Amino acid sequence: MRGFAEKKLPGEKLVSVSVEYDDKIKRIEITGDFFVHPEAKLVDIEKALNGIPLSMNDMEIEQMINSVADSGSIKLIGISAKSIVAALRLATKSDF
Amino acid sequence: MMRVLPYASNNAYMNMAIDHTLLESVSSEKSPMALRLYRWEPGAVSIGRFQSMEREVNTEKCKALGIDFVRRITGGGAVYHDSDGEITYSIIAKEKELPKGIPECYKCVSGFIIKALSNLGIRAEFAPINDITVNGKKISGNAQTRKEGAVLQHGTILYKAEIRKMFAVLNVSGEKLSDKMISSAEERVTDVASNSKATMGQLHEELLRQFTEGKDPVYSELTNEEKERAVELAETVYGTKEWNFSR
Repeated sequence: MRGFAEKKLPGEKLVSVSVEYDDKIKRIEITGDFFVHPEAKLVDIEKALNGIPLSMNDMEIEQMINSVADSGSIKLIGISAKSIVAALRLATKSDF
Repeated sequence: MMRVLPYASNNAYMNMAIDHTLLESVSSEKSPMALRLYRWEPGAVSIGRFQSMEREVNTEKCKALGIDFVRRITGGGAVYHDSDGEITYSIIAKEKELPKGIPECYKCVSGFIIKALSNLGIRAEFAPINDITVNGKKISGNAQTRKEGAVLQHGTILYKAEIRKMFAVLNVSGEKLSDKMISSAEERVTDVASNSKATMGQLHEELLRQFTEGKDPVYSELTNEEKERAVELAETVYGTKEWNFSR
C-alpha cells in the first residue's frame, strides 16, 4: 500500500511523508520546507525507518528517530521526530 | 575583510552554482568572507533542499512562461524569484565569523536586512525560524547551509511581489487559483514598494551598506577557477533532472 500525508505542528514547518508499506514500512520519503543539518543526513533517518513494523508505538519510533539524529549529530530545525511520526500515521491511514 | 561580488543577474542554475562555489572557496580558505547581491534572469522558482519539485512547482507552467526551476542546496520553502521583483543576497563566511548557533545566525544576518529596511522607512522584525516580517507579513525569507567550517546563508527581499505569477507557478495544496487565495496571500506577504517610495536601486544600496558596514569591503569578480567550477556545478548538478527532481 502507499500513502501520503502532511503535518505542521505549531512552531514547525510543513512535514510530508510519502510511504510504501504493508505491516512494515517498505520505503519512506520525508519532504517539506524544514531544515536538516547536515542536509545529506536526512537519508539516514529515512533508511532507519525502512523496515520497521507499524505496530511500534509512536514513542518508540520517535525515540528511534532521535537516536539516529543524536548519533549522527543531525540538527532538525522546523521538523521533529514528533511531526515525522504524526505525518507517518496520517499517511498510513490515507491509502491511494 | 569582506569580498563583494558584482551585483548581477544570472539564470537559476548559475546563481545556485555560484553560491555553492563560494561556499567551497570560503571553506577551503581560498576566499575571505563573501557577499553577493543578485537577481534572476529569467525569473525562477527555487525550492528547498527537501521539497518535492513535482508537488511544489507547476513545471509545465514554468516552461510555458520561460521561468527556470531549481533545487537549492539549502532547506526552506519554495520561492518565486521575479526578475524585477526582488533582490537576493548570499553571505558566505567561516563559521567562527558568524554566531555559532543556527537560529542566532539567522537572527544576526536578518539584522542587516532589518536595518536596511529601517533606513528606507520600513519597520521590519525578525520572525523565527527564518523570516523577516512587516506588520506580521513576510517580506524576506532566508535559508542556510554549512559545509566544512563555512556557512552559506541566502535569502530574498521582496521589492514588488508578483502574487499572481507566484500562484501560477507554485502548486498550493492542490487548490485552484482564486481571488480568495490571492487576497489571502496578499495578507501574508508584503514588499518594499508597498511600504516605501524607495527604488530598487536604493534597496540595493542600503542592503550593500548594511551588509558591508565595518567589514572593509573589497570588490571582486569570481576568479577564473571559480567561474569554471560554477559552470561545472550548473551543468552537472543544478541544471540536471537528477538533482532538481531528486525528491
